[in-house]
Amino acid sequence: MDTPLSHPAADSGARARLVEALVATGREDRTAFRTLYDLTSAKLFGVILRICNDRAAAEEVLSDVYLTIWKRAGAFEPGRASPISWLATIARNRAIDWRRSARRAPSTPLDEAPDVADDRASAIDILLQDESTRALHLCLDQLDEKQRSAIRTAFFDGLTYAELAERDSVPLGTMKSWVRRGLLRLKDCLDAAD
Amino acid sequence: MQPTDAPFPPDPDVAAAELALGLLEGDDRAAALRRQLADPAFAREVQHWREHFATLFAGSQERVPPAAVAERIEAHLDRPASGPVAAPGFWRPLALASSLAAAALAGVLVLRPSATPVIAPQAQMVAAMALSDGKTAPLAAYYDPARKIVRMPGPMPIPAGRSAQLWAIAPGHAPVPLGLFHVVGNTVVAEAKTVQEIPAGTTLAISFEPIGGSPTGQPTGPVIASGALSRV
Repeated sequence: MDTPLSHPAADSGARARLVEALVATGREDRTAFRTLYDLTSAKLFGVILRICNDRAAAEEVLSDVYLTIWKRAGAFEPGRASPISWLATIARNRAIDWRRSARRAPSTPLDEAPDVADDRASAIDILLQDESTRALHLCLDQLDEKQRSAIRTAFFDGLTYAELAERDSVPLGTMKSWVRRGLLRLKDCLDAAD
Repeated sequence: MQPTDAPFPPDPDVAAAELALGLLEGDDRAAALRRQLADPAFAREVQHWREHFATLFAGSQERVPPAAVAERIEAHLDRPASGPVAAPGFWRPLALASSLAAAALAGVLVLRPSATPVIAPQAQMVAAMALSDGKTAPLAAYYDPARKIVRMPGPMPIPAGRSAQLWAIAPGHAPVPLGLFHVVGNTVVAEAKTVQEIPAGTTLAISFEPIGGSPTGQPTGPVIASGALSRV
C-alpha cells in the first residue's frame, strides 16, 4: 500500500521549497537551480534510466533535461502545474525521444545493482501522492491484471503498442484491444471520480 | 464482465490517453498529433491524461546520478554563448539547447533578428495561414530558408501568459517544434533552426503554449492558424 498522507505540514513545506527553487531558477538563479537539482535529480534519473536502459545515454538525457529546465523554468506556473509532475514529464518525454530515435529494443531490467534501493517513500513521492487525489491509482486497481500491467509498463518503460505486444508475445491487435478497453474503463472510473 | 479473449465491439476512441502514454507510433501517432493541433477539446483531454499519469511517478524508483552529471551541467552553463561542442546526429538538439541556455545566462538576447523588420521581398516560400477563428482572412507567412526564420505580419494576439509557437508538419508525420514568435517592428518572427530546411508541401501551424514553448515537445494548446508552404 502507498504511504498514507500523514504529514501534511511537512509535505506542504517540501512542495513550497520545490516551487520556490523552480521559480527562482526561472529568474536564472544558479544557487536555486542547484537546490532544484539536489531535490529532484534522483527521481528524474530513475525515470530516465528505466526508459533508456543505458547508463551513459541516461546521463546525457539527464543533463539535457536540466538544461531544458534551466531554459524553461520561467514558463512554470505554480498555480497551474505541480512542480514535480512538470519536471518528471519533461524527463520522461525526453527519455522516450532518445529511445525512439536510437531505435532501442524494448528495455529489460538493468542487471547492475541499483544505486539506491530505497523502499520508503521519499519527500518527492509524498508530494506526488499529495497533489493527486490518487484517483488514477484507485482506478488502475479496478482493471484486469493484464490491462493494468500493460498500462504501467507503457508508462514506466516508455513502450509502444508494438513493443508491448512483442514483450508479451501476443498479436499487436490483441494488445491494442486489451489496452484500449483498459483505458476506456480507466476513463469511466476517472470521470466518475471527478 | 466480458472475458478478454471473446470477440468484442470496435475499439473505443481513447486516442488522447494513447497519445499521453506514448503508445502510438508512425501514422497513428501523426494522426493523433494532428488531431491535438486541430481540436482544442482533444488537446485538453491529452493534457488531463498527462496529469493523471504523472501521479504514477510516485512509484518510480529514485537513482542517484553520478556527480559528473551535475558538473557537466554547470560546465555547460558556465560556457560562453558561442561554445557548445559539436555533437553528431541526434545530439544536435542538445547542443542547441545548451547554447541557448548559455546565451540566456550571458544576458544575450536569444532571439535577435539582425535585419530591419520588413518582410523580405526575396523570401522564397510562403504559406497562406488560415486562422482558426474562421472570421479573419488568411495571413501570409514567409519562410526564409537562408536565415531559417518565418515572418508574419503583426500584431499577433497572444493571450497573457502564453507563447505562440511555430510547428512544421510534413505529410504523414508528427509536428516538429520550431521557434516562438517575437515581435520585430510591425511583424512577428519565429526561428526555424531546429530543422535543416522546410520543404514545400509542409504544413506550418501556430499554437498557443505555456511561456517558453510546449514543455512536451508536442503541441499542447489550441492551434490558431495553419497553412501549407509553397514556393513562390
